[in-house]
Parts: sequence; structure tokens; C-alpha cells
Amino acid sequence: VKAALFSIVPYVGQAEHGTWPVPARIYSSEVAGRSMEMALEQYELADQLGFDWVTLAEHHFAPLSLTPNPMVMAGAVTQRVRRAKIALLGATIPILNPVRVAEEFAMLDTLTGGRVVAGMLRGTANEYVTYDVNPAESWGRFEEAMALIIRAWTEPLPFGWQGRHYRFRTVSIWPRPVQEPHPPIYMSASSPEAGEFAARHRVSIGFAFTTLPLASGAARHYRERAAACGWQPAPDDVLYRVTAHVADSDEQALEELRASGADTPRRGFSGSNRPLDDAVAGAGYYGRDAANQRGRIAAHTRPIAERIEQGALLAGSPDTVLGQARRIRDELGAGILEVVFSPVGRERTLRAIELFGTGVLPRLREL
Amino acid sequence: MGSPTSQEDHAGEGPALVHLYDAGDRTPPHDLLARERQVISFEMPHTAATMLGAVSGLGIDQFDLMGTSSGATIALSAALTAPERVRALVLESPATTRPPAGDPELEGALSGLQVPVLVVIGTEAGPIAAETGRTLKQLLPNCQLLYVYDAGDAVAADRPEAFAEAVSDFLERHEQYVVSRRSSVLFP
Repeated sequence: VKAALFSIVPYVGQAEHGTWPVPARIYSSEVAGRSMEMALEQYELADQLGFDWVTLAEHHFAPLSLTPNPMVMAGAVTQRVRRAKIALLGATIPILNPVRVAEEFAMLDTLTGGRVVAGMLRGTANEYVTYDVNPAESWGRFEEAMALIIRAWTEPLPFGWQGRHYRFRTVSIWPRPVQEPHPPIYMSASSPEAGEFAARHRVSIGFAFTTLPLASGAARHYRERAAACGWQPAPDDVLYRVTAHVADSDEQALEELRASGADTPRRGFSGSNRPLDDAVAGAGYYGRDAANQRGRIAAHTRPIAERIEQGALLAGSPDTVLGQARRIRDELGAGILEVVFSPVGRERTLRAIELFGTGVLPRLREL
Repeated sequence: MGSPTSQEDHAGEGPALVHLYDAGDRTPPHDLLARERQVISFEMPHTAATMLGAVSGLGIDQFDLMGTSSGATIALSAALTAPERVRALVLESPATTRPPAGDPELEGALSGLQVPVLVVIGTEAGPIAAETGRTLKQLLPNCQLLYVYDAGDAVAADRPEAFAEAVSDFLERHEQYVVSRRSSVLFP
């Protein structure tokens, strides 16, 4: 099992919450700068400790994440992370210009000598409001955008694209990706539609903001569909993202989590704006498994013990966390465990990363 | 070879667009293309000479020329025979029974053809179609390669509106069709 360190690059100061979009009345540019530096520090430490990947994401209009364009942040990360792969999970491709996304991934692949992982996601429901895109067209735009990005990466001659949602008369991107034929693609596969699409297109999958039982069911569905399409996903084709806190003892880890307010987590995005989420759901965004898709994010606001039980949180000493990680490997078969270290204060978080890197990571590889 | 008069069909008014296609091809979007032009369609089989003769017989000297599948091979051949008569050439899913690459004489002829060419390939048509498109794009000095998303070999039948929009725009503006004229103004 490989390990990734994910940071959503949270704003570490006071901000309003319980709403989306979040007003910036009490915003501090100094705090924002420090928040970004703290994330870069985590990525750099993870690279030194031997994490296989560092991961960024795209979210808009909220202090929960300061990387509305993760490509920009990744440009900075390329100068600090010299060995690990740099994963972007994702680009939220239905709300972006796909040609621009292809160019940005190719730039990052060139800057890293071929260490970019290209996540292509549909994003949380609220992202459709960000750039005024109709969520009813999310899937159509997603499928076409991915096809166009792959074409832009691989087509050697200038070409035009006459799509349903996108039209470009001539495309010929520079630079080109380093990886052949193109960087590995990961997409979310929490919904059945997504698992079927990923299986059909031989795309790797990742699970985030979910629970182990839900992810295991979705991964089974993906593998069954892949088999029906004549291929078998490798362990590295399945990534599972989980929050974690590691300390010298179980008691200390739980105490530090409680002290940081982890027992009463906040809803960050669509969950903070019910009318918006209802409208997006009404547009068919969540697909045929809507109840589970809307419910799985809420699982992350449960108490600590329940989240550990659900495989949504790893917490404890290195030995305990290794046991919890083993359960994820056994039940889900994920080859990549992506860890978000709980925001328990700068020093404690760095200590947790170090304990994970030295006490968990070497043994995780042997699972 | 059939008699051209028994197999030709007319629609619309305006500049002439001659279309060479197989009877087996699914219905091409002649209604959409005929909004701004006169579409004269010929079912294959034809040779470049019989088609050129038939168009002359209609009193038409210069025209736009479109070929589908094996019709594209004949259309390309007609453009090489009478380049002064062909304003622009559209090749939909060109079938090359003999790939142009590797034939020095044909390659030389293609590289001298100044007629603007649009090659249209469906993204679901498979690697041979795309490779044929690339070969033509590399040999022809004034060639646009266009992928129509979610279309197979029968591009025009699979995505008629998408096909007709690109073809109409190309026939009107040739290589300048890369410059957008679509307004982004939502409200004045």
C-alpha cells in the first residue's frame, strides 16, 4: 500500500462558517499566506519522509480550502517536492476550460519530469454555482471534457473539436505531457454512474468524503464493471482518502483531536447551504444513488468514535493507525491510502506526519 | 458506373455544394446544409470524370465539394484533376483504400493542392480513421482536421447539427473559420 498526503490548504484563522459562499469580512491576507506556507511545509515534510504522493484539490469560495486553482499551488509544490508524485484531485473539469486544463497538467508534468497525477472530478454541488454552470449538464460536460483533454495531450497535429458542450476550431498544446501516453487519470467513483464510466474508460478511481462500507460497495461495483469490460484494476487504481491523527499514544491522539474541536466538525461546502444543495440535487446532479451520495458527506460530521468505526478517521498511536489502515486495505483493496492530517495545530500536525512517516509508512508498504 | 442524372438530387439555393456519398451511408444532413446553399448529391459509384462532367452538365463551373467515405477518395481525385473548379473540399471519414503516404506521385500532387480542405473524423470511429485524417493533414498544405465528439464513421448522421455547423462555417470562411464570430455578450 502506498501513501499520499493530502492538504485541502485550509485557512487557519477565524472565519464565518455554516454558510456557502463564505463572506470575507474578517479575512486576513497574512493568515492566508501563513496557511499556504503551512501546507507547503507539510508537502515538503511528506516528500522527505517517503510519502509516494502529495495531493491538492479544487474548491471555491470558502476558507476550508485556499486552492481554487490547484494548478497554481502545484506550481509552487513542484519547487518544494522533489521526489513524490504531485496529484491534483482534481481539476473540477466540467466547470473549467478543458484545453486550459490539458495545458496546465502538461506544464506541471514538464516541471516535475513526469510526476503528475491528473485527477478529473465533477466537484461538490456548490462548484456549479462558482462559474455559473448548469449542474444538470455536469455529466455530459465531464465526459466530453475528459475526452478532449486526452485528445489535446496525445494528438500530434493541430485539430479542431466539434463537441456538444465544447467547440474549439484549432488546438495544439505546448508543452506536452512527459508521461506516455499521458499522465494517469483518477476520478471519483462514489456513485454507480461514475464507477461504470471509470471501468469503461479504464480510469483509476478515488474515494473521498465517504465511509469504508460505502466505498467498499462502490469499489466492488467498479471492479465488476471493469471485469465486464475485459480488464482488472490493479491495487493502485483504487485510492481511499481518510482523515488521520497520529500521536505517541492512543489517548494522546484522541485528546489532541478533541482539543482541536474535531468532535464537532463543520460542514464546509454544499452541506452549509441546503437550498443550494437541494436545487443542485433537483437538477439530477447526484444521479440514481442520490440519497447515499448526499448522505455520505454528512457521515463526516459524526463523533470521533463513530468516524473511526466507519473508516472515515484514523486515530491513535502508529500501531493503532496501522491496524486501522490494514482494515481499509482488507475491506476495500485500496493500493493508495491518502491521508489528510487533522488540523490540530501546526506543531502537532507536523509531529503526526512524522510519526506516520516513520512508524506507519514503512509497514504500510508491506501490506 | 451509374448514370449521374438518375442518381443526383438537388436541395436548396445558393452556392453549389456537390456531395459524393455511398447509397449505404446513413442519411446525410442535406436539409441543414441546404439552408444557405444548393446541395447536389451524387450516389456512388462515380469517377472524378463522370462527376465533373455531370456538374458541368448542370451549368455549374465552380463549386464546393464534399465526399463521404469512398466518396471522399473520388472527391480528392476530382480536386486534383480540376483544382480551379473546386472552391473548398470536405472529406468526411475519408476511406483510403490506398493510403496516400508512401506513394511519392500522389504525395507530390497532394502537397501541391492549394484548395482548402476540411477533414472530418468522429471520435468514436477508431484509430484508422484518425490516422487517415492525420496523413491527409500532413500532406495537404491547407487542411483542417476536425474531430466530431461522440460520432462514429457516419459523422454527419450521428451528429448532424454539429457536422453541418462546422461544414457550413468552413465552406464560407475556409481556413479563417478558426476565428470565432460567436458573441459572448449576454446582455447589452
